[in-house]
Amino acid sequence: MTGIQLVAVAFAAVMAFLTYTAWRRGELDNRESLLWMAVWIALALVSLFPDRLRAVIAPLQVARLIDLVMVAGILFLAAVVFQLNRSLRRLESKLVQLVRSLALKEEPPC
Amino acid sequence: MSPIAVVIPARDEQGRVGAVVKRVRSEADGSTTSVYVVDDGSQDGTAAVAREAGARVLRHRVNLGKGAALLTGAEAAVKAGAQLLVLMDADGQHDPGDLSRLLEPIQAGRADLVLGYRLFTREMPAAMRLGNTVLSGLFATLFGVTLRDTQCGYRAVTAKALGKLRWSALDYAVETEMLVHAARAGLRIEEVPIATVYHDRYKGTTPVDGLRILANMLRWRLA
Repeated sequence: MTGIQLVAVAFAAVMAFLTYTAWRRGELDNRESLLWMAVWIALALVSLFPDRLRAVIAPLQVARLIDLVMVAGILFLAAVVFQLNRSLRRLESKLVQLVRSLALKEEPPC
Repeated sequence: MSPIAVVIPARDEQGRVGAVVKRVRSEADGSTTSVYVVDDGSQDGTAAVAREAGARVLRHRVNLGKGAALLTGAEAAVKAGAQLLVLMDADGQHDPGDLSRLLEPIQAGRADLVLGYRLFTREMPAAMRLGNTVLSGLFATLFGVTLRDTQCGYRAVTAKALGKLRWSALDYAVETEMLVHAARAGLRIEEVPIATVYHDRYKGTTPVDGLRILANMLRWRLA
């Protein structure tokens, strides 16, 4: 096992542990926990058995295995950023609504 | 005379908001004019000072931005029966002595929305002069309405027209968004000169806000 494989597997293990503790504390629901667990397991598997991915390199016309991993990582991060942005907007909108309605409710009489 | 509401969004303005409210109350007819201060998440005594000066105070528990504060104040004023609204800043940049000039075109039935415009003299910081000139020029190009000072927040509007201006911008883009809606709704807009006063060169719109407004303008044009 190379150094980078070791780092990747250790990182995946730590993240899986953090995901598990977040699930136990109720900070993540079942669906989210499963999704993140799948991501960390996939990362560990790709790191441990990179040769298994060689089969998909040719049909995808990717030159090297590392390129495939990089592209997949960037696409995944783009999706996460998009989802976070959506959640943030929703949260902001709810906060604005709440703060404004409280202000209007508490308005003192003339 | 129609009931008038002066809406003043304020954040951390305990040093100036009291004087502004008192000046508005002395300039306006107290029997028809109410002053609403929206304390937008201040950390200081803005709300207490404004209340003491005679304003009706609405309080945002956290800071939401000027656009949100104006929306809250305007909503409360219209709910209380205001038919004419004046929007002004809490930092003393807008002279309450200009109130009657701002209201006249609406009261004379010539306009739905009246904008104050400042003379771009040396009173105004150079960066502001440049930013205002660029944004006003771009507004004219994109929306076909030539206005002298699109960023001035000292405005008067009828309650009826306000419904057509309903903005979603929470920040300093609110002034521009209002004008976009006004232009699209075909509202009668008039401009009146107002005093150019700058007390604090570091508060208010920053160059980053200017860029954000510019980006928003392009977005609204495409919408």
